[in-house]
Amino acid sequence: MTPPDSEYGPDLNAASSQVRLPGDVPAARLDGINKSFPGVKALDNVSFDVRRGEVHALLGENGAGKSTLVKILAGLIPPDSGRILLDGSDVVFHGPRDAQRRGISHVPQEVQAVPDFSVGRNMLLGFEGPFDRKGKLSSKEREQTRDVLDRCGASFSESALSGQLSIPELRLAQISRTLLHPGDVIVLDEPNAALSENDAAAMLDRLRLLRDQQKAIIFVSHRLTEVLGIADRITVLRDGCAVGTFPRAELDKDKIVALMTKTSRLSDSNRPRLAAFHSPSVEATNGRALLEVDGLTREPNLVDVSFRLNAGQIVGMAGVQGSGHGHLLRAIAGVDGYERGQVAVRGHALHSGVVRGAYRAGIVLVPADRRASAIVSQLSVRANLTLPIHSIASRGGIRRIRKERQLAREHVEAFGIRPPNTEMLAGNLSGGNQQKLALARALVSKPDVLLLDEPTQGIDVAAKAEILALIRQLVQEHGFGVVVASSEFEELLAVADVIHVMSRGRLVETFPTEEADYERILHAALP
Amino acid sequence: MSDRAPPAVRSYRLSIRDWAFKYSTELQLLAGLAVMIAIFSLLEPSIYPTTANVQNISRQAGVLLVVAIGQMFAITVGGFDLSVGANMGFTSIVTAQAVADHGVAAAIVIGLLTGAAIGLVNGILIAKMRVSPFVVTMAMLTFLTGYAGVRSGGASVIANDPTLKWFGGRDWGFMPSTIGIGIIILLVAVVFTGRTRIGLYVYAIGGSRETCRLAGIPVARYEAITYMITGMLAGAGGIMLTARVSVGQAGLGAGFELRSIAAVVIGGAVIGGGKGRLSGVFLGVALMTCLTVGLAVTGVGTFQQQMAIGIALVVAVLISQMRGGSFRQISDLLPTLKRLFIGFGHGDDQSRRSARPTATTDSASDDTA
Repeated sequence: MTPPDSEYGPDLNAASSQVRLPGDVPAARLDGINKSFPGVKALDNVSFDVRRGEVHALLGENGAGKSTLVKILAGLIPPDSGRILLDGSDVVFHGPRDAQRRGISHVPQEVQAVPDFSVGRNMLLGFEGPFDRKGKLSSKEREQTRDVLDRCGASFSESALSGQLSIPELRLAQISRTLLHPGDVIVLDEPNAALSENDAAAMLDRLRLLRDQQKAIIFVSHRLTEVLGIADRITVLRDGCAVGTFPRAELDKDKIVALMTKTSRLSDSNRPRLAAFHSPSVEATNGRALLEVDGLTREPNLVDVSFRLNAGQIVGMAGVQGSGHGHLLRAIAGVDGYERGQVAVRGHALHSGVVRGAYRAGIVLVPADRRASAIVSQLSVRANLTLPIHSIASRGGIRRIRKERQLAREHVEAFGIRPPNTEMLAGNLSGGNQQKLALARALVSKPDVLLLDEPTQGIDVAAKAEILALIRQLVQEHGFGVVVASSEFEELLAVADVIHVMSRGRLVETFPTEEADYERILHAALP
Repeated sequence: MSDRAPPAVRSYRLSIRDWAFKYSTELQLLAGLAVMIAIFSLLEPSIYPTTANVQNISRQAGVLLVVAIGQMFAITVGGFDLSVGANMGFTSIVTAQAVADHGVAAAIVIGLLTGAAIGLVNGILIAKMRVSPFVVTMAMLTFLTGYAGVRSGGASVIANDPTLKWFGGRDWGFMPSTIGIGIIILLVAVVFTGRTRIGLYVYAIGGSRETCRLAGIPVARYEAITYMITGMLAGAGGIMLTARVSVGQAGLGAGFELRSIAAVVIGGAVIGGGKGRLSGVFLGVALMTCLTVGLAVTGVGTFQQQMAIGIALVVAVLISQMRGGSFRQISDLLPTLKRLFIGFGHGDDQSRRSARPTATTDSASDDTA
């Protein structure tokens, strides 16, 4: 897995002094790591190491297991099995603080800050002396934090209130926080996802400096250009497995895309049979598009997005994390408001940010965050299916249990929910089956426009194929329109009629599915 | 969960194992209750296991049961109501005054409407204005305590009406009227939670507000209605207490807010919402009342009784968390504790455990295929 040093090309950045003593032990090494979450194997026997004085980039699609891997190294989640070695000796982390104490600095993917504290106070969080005040920073603290912020190229003061900063600024502050007390191993999970070009460049410079100080740096990113600019070695993950570790010189953008691409397309055989419980609900649209989105803007996640959706059509929205495809669905469904633009169903414009209005117009969103917003885990499968307000299973506010059971049985059967037990708590289903339940529930609402946000996120491959087949079949039977937002492009290729590619909040490219392939989408989607 | 052909959809009956798992909190409470009653009966064989004492216990339990059922709705929908005690006191004053002016029937209706109105105000502030339940209901508690004093001029209001006595003061044959009313309300609540749309939504909103919003449910409306029901049941409790002591008093319900929350939580409901069963509430009320009465009978002082209730609350919740995931959390604490006491050594491999409770392999899924 680890290539010998001689394979390093001469074109490596000369500044990155490759001090490699014979018998050099990696600063951190993960060996044979396995990790499963309910319903999905996130990491399958993955090994990975990082040496002092190198930047090791971790690449892979969403859901490939990058974040899980770095979270294990940062002590945020324990592995199911496998070893963690620091400087060659086995360790077990009891939580993030433990990992920090052993010299692992982690910059998480999500921005975290106490909004009512100043930037400096947030940066020092956990490093305070016993008598530090919440409010003003002491002059020493001010000096310390100012220095790091300057070196990162921050344009804001250390005394600014965190709550008033923008997301990119907070990110920068968070990275600065790590640089304030850098451990020997620095883990950056998508550090530049929300940064501007300038800030990102400043951040990369700072990383090079740290590399020269013999720090071991792990860098997770979607921006291939940046990765290729800074990484010494690159490991590609795919579906929880390590595809391989390569010296920078062996790779270019095309090769990486090829490595990230899965070879097996999802098959659409093995389709479950669907009972004809619902009658087609979409009326003729008089030649008009079912859903018209015009110039939808909500800075910075959505910029002037327009597209059409016809009845019986499946539109795919492709994008990598942070490109805004999920925000688009949320805006259409009225979960988020938007600043400009218009969403119209059958020519009737909707109000911005009104979920009930969108729902009445026939728009039903199945959100990505299943457990929190697509199902009620404490309720049974049957009760979940009864939730939609216009469910047939109640009359005058009284639940018709017999009807409910029938409805639940038919949907559990039609959607192939396993175990086929209508009384089981939804929270005890596997991820794939929860998603089927969420789809079934959306269908009980009799939608005209179905919005699916990352419908197969965190689901194993077999269940993925099943869900995609279900989506296609539902569209054929009921004739509604579907928008699928996904960062797993081959599933869009398998299911969509048209694929729009989003990048940084803009719709950058549109392919009819016949003309699209994985690499073209990825090329368009990567910023 | 294999790729085999899906087996026929299982019928909706729970197997014994599923049932025992689902109702494990209740089973634990029943066991605890049995042990407690046995102990008190052995200690005080001539007082505790007597008809008179059972009547006494149920007389006390009836009022708490009614209020706790209301409290369960508030907790299940995702909040709680600290104003139930003050609501009872205020309703008590209003009812007592109305008895003198308008007669018993009107007074009871007025009392219930008063309680419901208070709950609705809570509900609107919490659900529509999005103020935290803690702030809203504590403000309501303070306000009502003051307003009750204003209405009554700080004095008790005599409500010595023989008809009113039927609703909390007298016994219905052998059964104290409070527990009679409590059981009637319990049965109505069973139908309400199990058979009505609002009942389902109380659980659904508490479980996941966002899911409900996306399912097109007018979440705020149903949440407000839930608090209204809580308020109405608190009002009913106030009327019952008024009937029992024959006076309207502002301080009549003091302490009920915390006792009702304790009973509901002992019964397996979760602060934060989504979980809570009437059977658990019933047993939680029974446990608390049997414990208090038992301690009083055995001559334990009031202060010690309070200490015992506090301990019972934590123990009950700990025990009910020990099944499933939280038990693992407790055992996961051990290495931490070890390190705390022995110093910060390097952890050993024995302390490593699988990462999360195996939520998908609960007993409910055992009968797969």
